[in-house]
Amino acid sequence: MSRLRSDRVLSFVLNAAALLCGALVLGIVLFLSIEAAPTIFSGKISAFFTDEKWQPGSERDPQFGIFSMLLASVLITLLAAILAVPVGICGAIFRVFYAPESLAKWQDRFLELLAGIPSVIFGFWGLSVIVPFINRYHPPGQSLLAAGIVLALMILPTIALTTKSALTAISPSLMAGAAALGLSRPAQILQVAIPTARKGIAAGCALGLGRAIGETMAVVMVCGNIAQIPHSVFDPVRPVTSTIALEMGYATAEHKSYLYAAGLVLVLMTALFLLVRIRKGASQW
Amino acid sequence: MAEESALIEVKNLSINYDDFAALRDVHLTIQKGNITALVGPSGCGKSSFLQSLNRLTDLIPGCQTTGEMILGGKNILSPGCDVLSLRRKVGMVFQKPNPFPQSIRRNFEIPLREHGFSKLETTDRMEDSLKRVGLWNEVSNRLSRSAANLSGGQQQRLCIARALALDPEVILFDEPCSALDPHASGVVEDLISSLRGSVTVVIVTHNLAQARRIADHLAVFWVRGGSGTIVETGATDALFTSATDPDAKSYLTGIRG
Ligand SMILES: Nc1ncnc2c1ncn2[C@@H]1O[C@H](COP(=O)(O)OP(=O)(O)O)[C@@H](O)[C@H]1O
Ligand SMILES: [Mg+2]
Repeated sequence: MSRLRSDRVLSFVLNAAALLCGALVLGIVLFLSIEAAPTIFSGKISAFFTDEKWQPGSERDPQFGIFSMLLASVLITLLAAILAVPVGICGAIFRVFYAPESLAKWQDRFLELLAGIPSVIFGFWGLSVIVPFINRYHPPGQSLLAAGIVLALMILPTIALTTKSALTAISPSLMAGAAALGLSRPAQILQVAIPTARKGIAAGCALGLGRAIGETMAVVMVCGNIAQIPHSVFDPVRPVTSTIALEMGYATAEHKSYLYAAGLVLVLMTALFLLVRIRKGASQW
Repeated sequence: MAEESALIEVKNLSINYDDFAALRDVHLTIQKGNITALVGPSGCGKSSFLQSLNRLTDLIPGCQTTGEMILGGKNILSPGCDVLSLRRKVGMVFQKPNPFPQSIRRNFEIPLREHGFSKLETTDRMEDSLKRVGLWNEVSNRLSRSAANLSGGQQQRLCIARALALDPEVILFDEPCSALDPHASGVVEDLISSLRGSVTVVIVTHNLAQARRIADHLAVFWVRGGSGTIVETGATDALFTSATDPDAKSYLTGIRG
């Protein structure tokens, strides 16, 4: 095969792969939109935000307010981020700049293993360890906090591993330059390494949060599943994902369409979050 | 040539990477305010020597230095040496320009603030040293833009300015021009030459013509018995015309190397 030809084949394959990825996303959004169409076009989607409660099955007074559930999704994600981002970043800094070789290798293994654990196992562990622990101090135990902790553990490896690769990708000559200016170790890390790697770190956090907002199985097991606006982290909550997972099996007609619409809102929320990040990333410096 | 007075005395220096002796039994006197060029083929320990002068060798796992390097009455290599203030006194410029990929201003603020200068002093010193490297007119209106957008030659001059801002006694240059185009290389060379008298310069270069143009003193490195060492030192002109070591002679006259 001539050089030119093989170049063209490669470029075709790469383009096709990129196109497929885009098409998949579009396809999913399209599918959700079609299924949610009855709700959207009847104008009833406003019920999402005007209805107070979520009781789609009620004969007498069906209500479709998902505000508390959207709020729960956001709060759980936020809590997970507050717990996982600092630990993940600090862990990666330790791994790259302080840990001896042998320990660093084990830390990588451990994080990769953690990343590979199925979410149902996390849920199971949360239910049998975290929930009883919280219950001892602040019943019922199934709560926003439990969900946040379990999710934090799930996204920790993503954040820590991406931060690690961003930090190790920094050219050694840059760090040598920082050292040669008489910067202390902490100054080298905080003022040079972190700012240099910040795009990679931000990407890792975004990936982690993207996973957190969509995570279902582990959360459903520990969050308590009561659709309410929580007053503290110890209150049970019910995120959008749980609702879809729990109700899709038996939902019919209108109810089902509402669930699809809720899914669409979730996808759009994630997209919005990523978009804001991209815009912010582009406008730095 | 400036008046001779020794600033650094290197005695019996050896550098090991684990079991490998990269440099053995090196003796050298570096004169204050002069430009000393280190020349010799690749792999004979010039960079290792340079990095031990500001203890950058500490960063390399398995690297060990023995012997003495006396600067201002103190041994640079002793464990008690305050490495951070040593590096403030002995700056370094690398082969590949390595400004922090942050704003030009931050490139000065980070080291200067770390060493305790006030905001005002930092601004003054930044302006002074940018002027000193001839970069002020080119960048004064874009100090908050990223240093990564500068050309290679500008980046290297920024790195020199950044080192100068700390008012060092010595600046070490490790092949500072070899990653630059000929024009930028000439500008940087002139700049280094202009430091004579105010800063002591130790420069590694593979460009013998450059060494001849700018250096007061020369130290020729060579591999002997598997390890690098200095085979001859002396005033540049004298060495180029009448080196006594056969390897140094053939290297300097361009027969070998
Ligand atoms: N980090 C290191 N680990 C092991 N060996 C090294 C390291 N750095 C340099 N060396 C070895 O030490 C010798 C001298 O290298 P160097 O000081 O870079 O020489 P030069 O700058 O003269 O080319 C070479 O043989 C090189 O392979
Ligand atoms: Mg070298």
